[in-house]
Amino acid sequence: MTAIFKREFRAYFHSMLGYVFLTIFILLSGVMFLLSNIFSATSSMNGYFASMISWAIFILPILTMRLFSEDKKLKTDQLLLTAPISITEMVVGKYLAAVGTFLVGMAITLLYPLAMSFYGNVPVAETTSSYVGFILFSGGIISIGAFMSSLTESQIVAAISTYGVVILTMFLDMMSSHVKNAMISKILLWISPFDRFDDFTLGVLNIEAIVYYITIIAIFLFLTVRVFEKKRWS
Amino acid sequence: MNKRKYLINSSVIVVGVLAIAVLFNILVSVFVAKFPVKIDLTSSQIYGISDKTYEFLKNFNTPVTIYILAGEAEQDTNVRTILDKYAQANSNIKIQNVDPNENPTFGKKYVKSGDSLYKNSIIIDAGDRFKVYKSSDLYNVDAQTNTATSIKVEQKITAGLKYVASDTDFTVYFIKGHGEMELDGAKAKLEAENFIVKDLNIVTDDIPSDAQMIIVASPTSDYTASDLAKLDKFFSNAGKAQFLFEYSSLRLTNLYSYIKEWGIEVNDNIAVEPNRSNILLLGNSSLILPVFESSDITDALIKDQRIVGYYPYSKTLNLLFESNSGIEVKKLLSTSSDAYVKTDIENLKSVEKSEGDKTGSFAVAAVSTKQGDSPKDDSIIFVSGTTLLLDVDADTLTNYGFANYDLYMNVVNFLQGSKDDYSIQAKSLIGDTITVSTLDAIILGAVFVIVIPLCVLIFGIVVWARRRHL
Repeated sequence: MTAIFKREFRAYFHSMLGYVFLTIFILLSGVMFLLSNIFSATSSMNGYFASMISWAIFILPILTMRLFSEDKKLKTDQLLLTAPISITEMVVGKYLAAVGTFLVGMAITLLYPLAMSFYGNVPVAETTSSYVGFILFSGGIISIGAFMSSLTESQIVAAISTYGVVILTMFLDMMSSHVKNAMISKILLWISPFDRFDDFTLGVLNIEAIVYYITIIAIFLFLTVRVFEKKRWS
Repeated sequence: MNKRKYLINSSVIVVGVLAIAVLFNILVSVFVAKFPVKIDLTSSQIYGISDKTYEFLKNFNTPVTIYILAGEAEQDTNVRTILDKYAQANSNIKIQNVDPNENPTFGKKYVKSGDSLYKNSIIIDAGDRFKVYKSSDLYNVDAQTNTATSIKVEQKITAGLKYVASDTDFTVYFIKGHGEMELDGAKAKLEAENFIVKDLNIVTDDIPSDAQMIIVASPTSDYTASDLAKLDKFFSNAGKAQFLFEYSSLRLTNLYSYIKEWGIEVNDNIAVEPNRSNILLLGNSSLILPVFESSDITDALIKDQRIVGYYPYSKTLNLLFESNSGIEVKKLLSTSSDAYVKTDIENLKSVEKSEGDKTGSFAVAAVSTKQGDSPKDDSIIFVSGTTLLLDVDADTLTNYGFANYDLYMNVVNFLQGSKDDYSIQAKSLIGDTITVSTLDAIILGAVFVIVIPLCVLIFGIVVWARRRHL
């Protein structure tokens, strides 16, 4: 697994892809930081994370779009499937490489609270829990992207279908507020990854939300493994 | 056949795993509902009360009932959580819910006739004295978005308890008669803090004996000998006063020389701050962010990094001595050392620096204490080069991130001689304010939006270009 992780992580930074992702991520993130913190004169990063959550949907598929589809297109997936590692290890290794690249970007954003600490008090609890929440949320999006990438040979299709799935979940919040039936409304909100994020911004580490995000990640990685298992049989 | 069998198997596995995942989440939810394991990283901060209040509650022995004007189900749980801390700390304090739907006349005796109490109001009742807070008094609300930005339950309840337990009132007079400015914001703030606030025409009336503090806000005509005699009488009885000027209050020769006896000389000028880090973000160069000098009044603000004073068009003050025959002068706020002053105010066309403008660090606010026989008998004056924007209401200024009212209430508490200062800060629901000068904002913007992304991109292009030729 570490071999796959290393190979994939390096691949991000040997091609332009990793740098393009990081540049876009840090640029957007910098603008959001400037608008929601510096110009708004607050050290609370709630506004920043609220906007970054929307942007993450559009940026993170850049990381995942070629994760499996590239191998499929180049037929190197045959090599991976016959390599002396389990499919699970291969999938998790690749997933972690994408997460690792995302975390490089997140590490750079730690400069924001650091910079703000020179101008006022930074709410450590809220900032920490928001970071935890945002990383879990993004981990979920990356796992959805990874799954989509395993279904297709085309990077574009992988990226766009990821947008599709995630945007669909965005509507869950809206739908739930229009549904009269309390039970259905509750179930819709339960599925929504956006609704779960709120607690984190308040400085509360909600075990339910953490378990939920980890479940999302596990389910989509499991489905990805199933896609490759199926390939073995067909 | 084999393939079909596989498909069925595979579907069963997928459905099974999904079911287990959902079930696991439901189990966690059920578990969390029974044993709350939300790790509240902030609970001790937002919903707790400070050591200052605990210290105050230790010696609090007035039986008090705090009424919440709402049923258990409708009450504001944030407020209730904090009130419970008071009741836990001191058994004289009882908390009781009163549902106005069931008991609609309950609130009547706590309001002036004609007024009514709203749901979720808080009443602190000690029998003969009481204090009422509307639900909106307990939060700072952003005027633009109408959302609560911070919670000040502790600030209000502690002040309210202190008020109902005491039997003396502190009376403040706003002086009129010389074209003074109306400081509506300061009046409202002082009333909210349980001061008795009155107006007084110094030309026609004497300063009454119940006056403990007078406020002179930017007079436009000079004081007469008879006015000054009234001031003399007032100060001889441990009087406390605030003299707040504006650049438009000019040539108040008699008043200036009266204040000069206290070691503070008032100048008819405005201070201009060329130092970008001492000017309000996007402001013009008369909107000074003053430098806080260390003192009893300012130290707490410096510690909390609440160091914005928004001090527009300030007059400068010359401090003639630090200590001289029983008079102590203390500088509170000053400009940066790059500031300069413009003097010919009435013909002023531009605040650009021209030759001959005096340059240096100028005091813009100071206090002077004339020592009496005991600290209780001290007479004290606070002199400021502006009215500190006190005509604007406190919430508005605070929401913009200006610490003016924090500074002002510290001054008032200092003049009032309350060493045990209970002006407790509101607890932010949206995070603390940061104060970034224009220059720093531009630098931060350039670094985070241009420099860092560009570095990453250039590094990427270099790596890519190198590898292309491998």
